[in-house]
Amino acid sequence: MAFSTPASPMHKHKKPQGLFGYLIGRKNFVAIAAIAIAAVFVLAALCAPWLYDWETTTRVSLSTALLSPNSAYPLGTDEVGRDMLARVVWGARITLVVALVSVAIAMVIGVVIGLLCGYYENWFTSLIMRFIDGMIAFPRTLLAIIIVTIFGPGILSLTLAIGISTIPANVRLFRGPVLALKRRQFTTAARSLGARDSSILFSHILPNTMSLIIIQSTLSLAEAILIGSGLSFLGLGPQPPTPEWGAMIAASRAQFTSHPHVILAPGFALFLVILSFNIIGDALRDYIDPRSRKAL
Amino acid sequence: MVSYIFRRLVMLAPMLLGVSVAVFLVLHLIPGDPARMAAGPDATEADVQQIRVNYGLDRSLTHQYGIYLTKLLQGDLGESFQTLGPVTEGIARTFPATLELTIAGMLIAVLVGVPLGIYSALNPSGPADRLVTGIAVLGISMPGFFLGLMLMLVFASMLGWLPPTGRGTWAHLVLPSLTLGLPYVATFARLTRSSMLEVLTEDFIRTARAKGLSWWKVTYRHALRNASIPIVTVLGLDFSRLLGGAAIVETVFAWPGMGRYMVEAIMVRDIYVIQGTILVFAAAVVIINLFVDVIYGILDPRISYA
Repeated sequence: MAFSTPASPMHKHKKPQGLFGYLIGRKNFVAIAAIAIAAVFVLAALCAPWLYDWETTTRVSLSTALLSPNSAYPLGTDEVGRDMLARVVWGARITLVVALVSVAIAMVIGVVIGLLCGYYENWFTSLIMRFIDGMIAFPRTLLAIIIVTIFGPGILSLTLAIGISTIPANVRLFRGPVLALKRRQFTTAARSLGARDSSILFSHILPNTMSLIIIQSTLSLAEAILIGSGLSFLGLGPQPPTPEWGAMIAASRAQFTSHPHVILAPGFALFLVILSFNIIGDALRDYIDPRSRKAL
Repeated sequence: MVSYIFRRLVMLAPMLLGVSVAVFLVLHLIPGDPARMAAGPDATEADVQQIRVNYGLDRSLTHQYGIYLTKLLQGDLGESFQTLGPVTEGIARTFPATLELTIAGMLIAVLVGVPLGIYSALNPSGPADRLVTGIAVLGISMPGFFLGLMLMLVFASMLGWLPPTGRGTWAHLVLPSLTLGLPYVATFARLTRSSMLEVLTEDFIRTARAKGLSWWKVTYRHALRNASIPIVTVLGLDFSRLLGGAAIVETVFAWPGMGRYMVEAIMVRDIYVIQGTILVFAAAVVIINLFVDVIYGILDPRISYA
């Protein structure tokens, strides 16, 4: 986690300091706890196949249905007798993979369009920006629902839907800094040395947006998980018996008043993961650009 | 001002036309045969073909759009494959419920969030201030459906104070609108706080204080009015977002709204229902943005609409 401050003309006089050192110095123990929680979930996601085989995670066994948490099943069992802990662990894997892939899609496409629309200001890019502005006005959940409609419910279309619906916001977010960066002296210097547009864009402007990319990716992960779980809850994501947290809550809804543990486990897993990524994103922002604190 | 509103209303038509083209194309390029879906698993090939002809699904795409648009202009959004009733009827039945829920949620967010923000701006570093900055992140991290189910668990099934699902009395509205509005309370409080803090340092506030205006007038007439422009912007954006989030809350509380109507249609690819509901949602978003622009003009006469 301890990466150095990105090379940027704005921060070059800042002494490099590790993220953990910074957080301890500022007594931001909430952020340290968030990193620890996120690490536990990432570890669970990575190790899921070795902890529980897919067979136990998805097999129906009515004789063990709706058991409260006990020594054999630390989080109890669901309405068809599956181990909740196994499903929550596998759910972490599915949720995080969906979120990572969708954020990667949104970042790569969003940043590239943002860079191009900021660098080339002409009628075509301004037309694209008008279109992007229109898309931003449209609620993201609704946009994602419409995209799922095109491909039909499922894990792949859920990933695409979250990714595509995040692109407009990313384009607008990255275009702003590019508009400023292309007027900076180092850009003019590179151009006067005969650098091509592609080289200016990708070797001079892009590295200067790196801190924004890191912060935005973390915050986007939180939002991707939030929106993805909502769509899954509606039945538009991975289909049963796939243990996705939102889908698990939807499936166990009928039993939750008598056996609250069936929704508490996946629900708190969701809440904790989203909360950790949001807190880590905020901490990263403070660490990379301390001046942004004053804005809020 | 009046001519500005009129021009914006005229602009509404091409925007909605664009939305209708986009929605139409999206739904007609999707894989899967809507006629076969509508006919059901037991239908013969002839039945499917008959449905195709009845709904014009055998014609070219432009022809189908032509039919769709002509009907749209006559206020006809087509028929549901499932209920065989007109889509407009379904929308007329469900949209008021969604609007009621969204407005109630918005009221909770604004009526709690804005005063909390003003209070914390007037008492910086006080307990309210720390609360506002602390809970904002909780609000954006809580999945709506989980919050809804938790509220239902505590207030409906454990305490028995409120009905868990359905629509009817005002008591039915409490839990769904809390679920929708609570996550935005902190957002509004934080925004109001930062906006107020900024305005309170302006010269005209000092002038107002210097000329002896009462505390009340300085805070509410001068500061809040000037601080309210970013609040109105976010209000408009969040209203659209609440409208989008309504689908989830409606599913949790079995609220008979348009979001659920749409999601249920998506499940069975009832394309005219999907098309109609998306069109109404889009129109609502466009109209909300128009409202926001008009309110800007009232709050800040310096904004020109020339």
